[in-house]
Amino acid sequence: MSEGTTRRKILVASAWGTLAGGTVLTARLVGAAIGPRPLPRRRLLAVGPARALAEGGVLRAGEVIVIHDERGIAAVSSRCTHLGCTVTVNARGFECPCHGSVFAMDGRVLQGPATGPLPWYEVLLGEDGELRVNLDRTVDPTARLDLREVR
Amino acid sequence: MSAPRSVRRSFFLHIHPERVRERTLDPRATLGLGVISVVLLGVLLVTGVALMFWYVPAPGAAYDRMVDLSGGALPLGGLIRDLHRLASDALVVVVVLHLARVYLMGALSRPRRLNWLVGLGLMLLVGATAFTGFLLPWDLEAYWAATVGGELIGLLPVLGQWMQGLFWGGARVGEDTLLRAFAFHVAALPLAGTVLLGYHLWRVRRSGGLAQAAAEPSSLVPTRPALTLRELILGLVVIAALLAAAVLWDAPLGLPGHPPRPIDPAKAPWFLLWIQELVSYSNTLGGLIPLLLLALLVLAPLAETQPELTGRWLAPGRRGRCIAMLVVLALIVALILVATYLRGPGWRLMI
Repeated sequence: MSEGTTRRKILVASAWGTLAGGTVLTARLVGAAIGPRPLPRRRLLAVGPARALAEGGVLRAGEVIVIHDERGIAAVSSRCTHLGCTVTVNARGFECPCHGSVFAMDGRVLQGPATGPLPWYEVLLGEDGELRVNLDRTVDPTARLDLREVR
Repeated sequence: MSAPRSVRRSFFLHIHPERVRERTLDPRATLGLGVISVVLLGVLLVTGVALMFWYVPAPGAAYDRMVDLSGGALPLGGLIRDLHRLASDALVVVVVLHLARVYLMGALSRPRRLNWLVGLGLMLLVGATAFTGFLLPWDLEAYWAATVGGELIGLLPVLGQWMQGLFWGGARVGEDTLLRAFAFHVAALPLAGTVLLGYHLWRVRRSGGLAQAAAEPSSLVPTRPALTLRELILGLVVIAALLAAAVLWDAPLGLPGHPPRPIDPAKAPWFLLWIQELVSYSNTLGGLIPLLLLALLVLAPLAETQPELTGRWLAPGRRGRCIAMLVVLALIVALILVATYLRGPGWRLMI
């Protein structure tokens, strides 16, 4: 009698255990399937040959805007620090088309809702004459890659 | 051998009892909003399944398919898409009106507290399904809505970052985002919605049908044909109206969203424009106000301590909070109108 009761208890306990274990396993499996893909390793963003970007020129590549002014070449993020829209460039600076944030030419916030400035990235010139933006390293807004110096 | 008639009928009797209160027949009691919602869901299901036979959830291909659909590659394909979009827009409006109707009539006191919450959950599911559906054509509007939407989700407390990863499928919007929007739109959200809707309808019946004032005399009438006929007519009117509108109106399609380019201004789907308007002042405003409103809706049944006020439009004891709700709804509509018609390039006011 007591043996039967014990057997039943063991069976019921293992049933619960299987259910609990199965639930955890299912949650893990589903979680792995629906979780975000791992972060891509940020690389150097190739933006084209340096000679293609004349002084006074502006070009867009990925999430950066590369400018060439009288002091040299610099790259600023084109991703609005508010909610990620791509800013437009005009004479005043940069403007967000989604919520109206305005940034000065050096990336400072002139008008909200954005609260942080647009970051500037290091620009590198390769042996091959190709410009690359190092998205892993932010620099001061005044920093420039001086082509005359490089040459 | 087919099942006896009584058994076949009893399946539908789970939705409707054999007899209903006479009041249920009065269009002024419910405005038919719940029935309209269910009819719209039916239209969405049929047109949605048809669209799935055509759609490809990949950037580029998704857009091309939409162009082909409207360009006549599929007989009446454009009409199917128009109907799907119209029914979706209509459903968003109707579920909000349904929520307002239930509130203004005080039909959220015991024993309807739980069903009020289930209804709120259904409303959020409708919103999420409409939003993910808006992304599927993957035009530029969709791309930027996915970007801004994901950023906003990421700002939510506690689960925000996790939900952002779940939605984007990566650190940024990409092809995984579209695939996920598709999976949410055609499977995960409708599945959850179907289960919740079944429970919602069952709870209405369990709570004794339509809420009504205790003092009101309740004479019962047979459900068939009085109520079923009225529901059938309402359903046919809704479908006829949708068809007429779909012939006259074309579902919008922006510029291709792959590869992404900026658009100016970039506007959210219309039912989220009030949040975009708030967020353009500050994230705190745009985040806190919708969350606060949701919290108030969740807690609303706690204020309903007098069941005798149930079943009447703007009952004297509840008039204040009913008016407050109408004011909030009017403000939301006003913000949507401002964002739709008065916001131009750089999100500047055009007045």
